[in-house]
Amino acid sequence: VKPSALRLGPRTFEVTDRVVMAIVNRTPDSFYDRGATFAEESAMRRVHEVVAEGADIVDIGGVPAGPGADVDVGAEIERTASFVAAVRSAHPDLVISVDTYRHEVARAVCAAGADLINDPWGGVDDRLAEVAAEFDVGIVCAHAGPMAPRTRPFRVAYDDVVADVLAHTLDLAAKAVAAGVDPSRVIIDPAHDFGKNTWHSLEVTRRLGELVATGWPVLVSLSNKDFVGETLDAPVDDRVTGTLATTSVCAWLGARVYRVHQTRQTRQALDMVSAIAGDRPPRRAVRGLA
Amino acid sequence: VIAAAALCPAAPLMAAELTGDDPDAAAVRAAAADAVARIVRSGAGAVAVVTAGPVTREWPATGHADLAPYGGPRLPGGVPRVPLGLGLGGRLLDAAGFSGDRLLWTVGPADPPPLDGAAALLVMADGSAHRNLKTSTDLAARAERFDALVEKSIVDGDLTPLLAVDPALAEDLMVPGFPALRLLAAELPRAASVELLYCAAPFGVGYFVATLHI
Repeated sequence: VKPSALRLGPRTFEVTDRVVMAIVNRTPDSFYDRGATFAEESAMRRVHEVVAEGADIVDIGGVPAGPGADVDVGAEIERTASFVAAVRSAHPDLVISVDTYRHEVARAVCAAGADLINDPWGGVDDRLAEVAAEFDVGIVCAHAGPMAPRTRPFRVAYDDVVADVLAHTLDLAAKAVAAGVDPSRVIIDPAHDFGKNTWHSLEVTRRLGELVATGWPVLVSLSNKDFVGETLDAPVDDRVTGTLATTSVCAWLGARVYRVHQTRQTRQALDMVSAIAGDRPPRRAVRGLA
Repeated sequence: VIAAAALCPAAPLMAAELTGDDPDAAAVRAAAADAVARIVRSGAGAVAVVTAGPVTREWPATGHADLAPYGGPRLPGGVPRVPLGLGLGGRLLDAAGFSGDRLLWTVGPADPPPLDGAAALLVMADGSAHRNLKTSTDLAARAERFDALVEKSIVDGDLTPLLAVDPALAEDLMVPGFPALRLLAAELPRAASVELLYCAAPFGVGYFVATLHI
């Protein structure tokens, strides 16, 4: 299938663009930032910062991925919707994504100006696509295996993990289009670590080209995750190098959207890969040319 | 009559090739190797390896587990495949140099297997998989209580309390191996000597390594 442009909110991303999605959590307990941007003021400061560092998309989340204190629909909306409206007004050209698996939250944030529903738990709530269609926004179709939201993988086994990822994400993408979502706004995501052990996440990375070959834009969410930590035996604060190495491999294999904590470093890694691939020229090149 | 039993975890990380050199996983494996070696040394002629499965049925004694679904190497063609717990148990018997007869059974929620002729049991089962919750939820507290009950039953040499546990509770607490634990309690309700060689939840799942003799 021939890949085509990805259209999200005010932006159109061409096939050769490598798009940085910066994580901004409105949570007190996410694994990496541990509440650094829970307060609205610090979250907005973070948005300004990541935009300056080259983020194309911000991904706002109100519920951590890991197990922890329950966050009900009302609380999740409270953490995200008004903040989306504030970001929308501060950055009209920024693509705003919201990380949620609940359609009630998706509806509230889309009404507030969000452009993309990022559902990392793989369509547990099948009404998300309806909301994306209703508001003409994008949707991320992810694979979380058999795991329920906010649980860790327990002895997950696949005959062929990539085949399972393909079957599930393509099914979700087809359902989204059938529900009326514009196909140029649909993204697929293998969801590293979600319902996967480290071997599974490594295999998904190695075989990412099979997802790219479907023609759907592929999002990868690699940032500082456990599969990087286990592979390098590195604690959570020492995984940036491994994340960037994985990012570069995914970029080379054709991933198009990168959900990250380190915006500036990711932008540099992706720009370097784009230059190697011949998709963008060096910013300056006078060496040996004088 | 079952005269002796060993209890070991049924976790994928019992296969060393899946874990790299993780020291906690290595400690669990070392304890399990020790337990099975003790059972083998005690002279059991035939050992039944049991683990929980959807239904009660016997599996080929020469079977191995395929680790590929967990990210490991693919089992060569022609080798009979058995469920993970049975394959892990078979490996432990191999490592202990056991050369007697083997019976391999999965035990489902309903029917106990016959285990005819077996003198010893190797039970591959774990405690609760809800030991990793970050928050002090009711579920985490109940999971700890369940695992504490298993631990106390082993230490006391009296497994009959496990026979009184409601299977629905075990399901709530994510104890997928519960039918195998219950089989152990039914076959060897009281032990004259026990050794609890390992009892911890380093990865959020309760592991017990123990030997029991009547």
